[in-house]
Amino acid sequence: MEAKLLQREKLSPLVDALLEEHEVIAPASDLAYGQIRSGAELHLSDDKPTQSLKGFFFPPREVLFESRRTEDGLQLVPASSSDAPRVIVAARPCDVASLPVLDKLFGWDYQDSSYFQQRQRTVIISLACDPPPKDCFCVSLGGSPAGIEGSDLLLTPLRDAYHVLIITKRGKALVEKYTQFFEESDEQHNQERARLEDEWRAQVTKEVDADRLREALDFDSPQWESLTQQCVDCAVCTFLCPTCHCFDIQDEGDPAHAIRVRLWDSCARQDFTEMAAHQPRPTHFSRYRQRLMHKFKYYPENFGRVLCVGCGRCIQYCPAGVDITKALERAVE
Amino acid sequence: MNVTQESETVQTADRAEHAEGYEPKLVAFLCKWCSYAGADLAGGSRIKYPANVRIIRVPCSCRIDPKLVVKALERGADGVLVSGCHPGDCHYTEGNYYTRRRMLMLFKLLEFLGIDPKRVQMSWVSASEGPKWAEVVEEVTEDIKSLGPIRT
Amino acid sequence: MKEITKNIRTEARKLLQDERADVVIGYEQGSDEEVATPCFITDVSQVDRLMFDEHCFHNLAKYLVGQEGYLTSRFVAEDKRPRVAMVATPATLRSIVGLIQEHQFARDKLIILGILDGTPVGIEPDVLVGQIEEDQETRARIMAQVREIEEMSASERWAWWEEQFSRCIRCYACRQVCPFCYCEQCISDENQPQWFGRSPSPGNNRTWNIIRALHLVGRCTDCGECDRVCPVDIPLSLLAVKMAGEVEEAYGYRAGADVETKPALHSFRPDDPDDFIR
Repeated sequence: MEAKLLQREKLSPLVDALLEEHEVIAPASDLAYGQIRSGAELHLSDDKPTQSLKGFFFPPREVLFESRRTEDGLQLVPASSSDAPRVIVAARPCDVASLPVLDKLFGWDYQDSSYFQQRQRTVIISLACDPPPKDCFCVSLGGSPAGIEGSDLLLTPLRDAYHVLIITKRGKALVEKYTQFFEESDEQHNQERARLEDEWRAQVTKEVDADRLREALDFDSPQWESLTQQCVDCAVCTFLCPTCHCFDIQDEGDPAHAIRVRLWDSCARQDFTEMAAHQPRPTHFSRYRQRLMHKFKYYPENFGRVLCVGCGRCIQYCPAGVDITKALERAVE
Repeated sequence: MNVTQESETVQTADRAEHAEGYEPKLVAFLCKWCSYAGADLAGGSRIKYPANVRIIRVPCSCRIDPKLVVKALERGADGVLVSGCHPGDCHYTEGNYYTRRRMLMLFKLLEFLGIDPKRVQMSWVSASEGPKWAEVVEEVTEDIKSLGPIRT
Repeated sequence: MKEITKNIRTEARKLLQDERADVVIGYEQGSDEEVATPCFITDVSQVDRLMFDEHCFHNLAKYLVGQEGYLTSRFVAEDKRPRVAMVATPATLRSIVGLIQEHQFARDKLIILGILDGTPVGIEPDVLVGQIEEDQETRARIMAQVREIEEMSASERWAWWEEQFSRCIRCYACRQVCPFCYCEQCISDENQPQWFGRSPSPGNNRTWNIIRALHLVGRCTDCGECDRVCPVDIPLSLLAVKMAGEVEEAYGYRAGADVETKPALHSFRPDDPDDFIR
C-alpha cells in the first residue's frame, strides 16, 4: 500500500483545513468522540474515549418522524439526517473495525438508510494505539493496535512523525486534496511502522479463542448459572460496546404533537424481552448467556463475523469487575 | 426555607417575549376532603380568583409522589401547587404529615438544581376556607407570573 | 488489609464447615491486581478466593435484594432461600441498616462479617473482621463541591446541572448498583402510563435524574457507587450528600445510623418545619 508521512505538528493544521469543508469528529475528551471546531480541540490521550464511535452512525437517540394533528388531519414529517461531508480523525482501530461488522446487521433484512447515509458521508482516519490499553484483546479477534479494517487512512506514530498508510481510494483522494500537509515516506519508515506494530501486538495480553467459542458455546451448559453472579445487569457494557446494536422504538409527546424515536436498548435489561404472555429471560444468567452467545456464536453463524472487536471497554468499565475473556473461558470449560 | 433572592428563570429571553399577555399555567393537586372542598366552596360563593389554575383531585395530599410534580413541570406547567388539610385534620389521620416532609425535600432538590423553588408551592386549605383558597391562587399565580414561563 | 483477608477466610471457612451459612458473599481478585470483583463462595474449598483490599468498594448489599436478591428472590421460595454471610464495609453496613428498616429482610437472615472505619454504623456485625481508615478526603471534596454549587446563582446552577445531565446515556448503571433501587418495576420502565421518555433527550434525562434522587431522599447511605460507575462522570454523589444534609438539618435523621428508627420520609413529628407552607 502507498504511504506518506505527516509531521506531528501538521496534524492540527490539517484538521483546521479539513474543517473548512467537512464536519470533523475526533476524540474531544476522555469521555467521548465529538464534533470539534478546531485542531486545538483534538484530545489525544493514552486511552481511548469511554464511548465508542457507533453513536455517529447509530445515534443513541434518533427521531424517525414527527406527527402533528391539525384540522386537516394527521401530518407526518420524516426526519432527515445530514449528508454533509464528514471526516473522523484519530479514531481507534477497534472502534473503526466495528463498522464493517455493524454494516452486516444494518444492511441485512432492512437497509437502514440513515445508518448508511452516515457511513457514506464519512471518511475515516485512524490513529494506531501507542501503547495499547491494558484491557484490549483485539489481536485474537483479527484486529490490531495498528489495524486497518474499516479505515481510509491509518496514522501510526513513529519516532518523529506519523506514518500515513493509504488504505482506500477515498483515503487517497483526501491525501491528494490536502497534499501540502503530507511528505514522502520511504522504506525505513515502512519498516519502523511494521516493527512498532509487532511491538504493540505483543503488548496485547488478553485474548479469546473465537473459533473454539463458536463451536463450544452451549446454551444448555450448567456453567452459565454461576458464571457472572456479580453482574448487576447495568447495561454499561452494551452501551459502550462498539458492536452492540440493540434498540427500541418509542413514541414521545401527545396525540397533537408527537415524535417517534429510536433509542439504544440493552439485552441486559430486565424487561428487554418481556412480552404480554411471558418473559423468556427472567434471570440474569439467561440474559448474560444470550449476550455472549449472540456475540460469539449466533452473529458469527448468521453473518460470518464475531460481534466483538476486543476494545476491552466492557472489562474496563464494568462496575462489578466482570472480565468477558475470563467468562468466555469458563463458559466452555 | 432558603428562598433564593433572585427570581431568575431559565429563559429570561422568553420572559421579555411573553411579558405582554403571558398567562402562566398552574397545575394544582388538591386533596379531596379539605382543599378540593375549599375550592368548591370558593366557586359556590362566587369568589373570583385567577383562571390559570387547573385542578387535579387526589384522595389525600400524601398521594403526591414527587414524580407527579416533576412530570407536570416537564409537560409545561409553569408552576405546581399541592394543597391539603391542616396538620391534625387529615381525613386519613397522618397523610399530610408525610406530604410536608416529602414536599420540603422536593423544594430543596429543585433549588439545588437551579429551578426556582417558588415554582412549586404548598398550602393548607380546609373545606371551609373558600376565601383562603382564592387568596392562595392569587398569590401563587402572581409568583409564577413574575418568574416567567418555564422552559421544558 | 492482609489481616482482614485472613480473618475473612477464617470466618468463612468456619461458617461453611459448620454449615451455618450456604453462601459467603465477599470479594475476590479480578482480572488484574487493580480490580476486585464480588464473589459468592458456596464451598469451603473455595474460601481462599476471598480477599480484601483497597479496590473492594462495591456495595454488596445490592446482591441481597431485588428480583433475584439472595434474601428476596421471587424465583426461590422463602423457606428455600440460602443462608447468607456477607463481608460488609461501612458503606455496605449502612445500606443493610436501611434495607432492614424498609423490611426487605430481617436482621437474623444475615450473618455479617463487618469491617469498620470509625464512622457511625447502625448495626452490630456478627463478627468484626477488620478496621480500615475512613476516607475523609473524598467526603471533604464532595462537601466542598456541594457548597460551591450552593453558592452559584439559580441560573448558573441550572446550566451546570444541564451540562451534567446532557451527558447521560440512560444506561441505568447508577440504578443497577444501588441497593435501594430494588423496585421490581422502576418508574423509568413503566409505559402504562409512561412517566417520562426512555430516550436520552435533555428533558428526559433531567427528569430521570431528578426522580431517582427524590426516590432516594432519606434512604441513600452515600456509598458513592452510583458516582463511581457512571460511565460519563455525572457527579451523582453530590445529590446524595446534599439531600442527606437537608434531611439531617430538617429532621435530625441520618440514613444508616440506627436500624430501630423509621426512615425519615416514612415518619413525621407534629412540629416538623412548616414555614414554607401557605
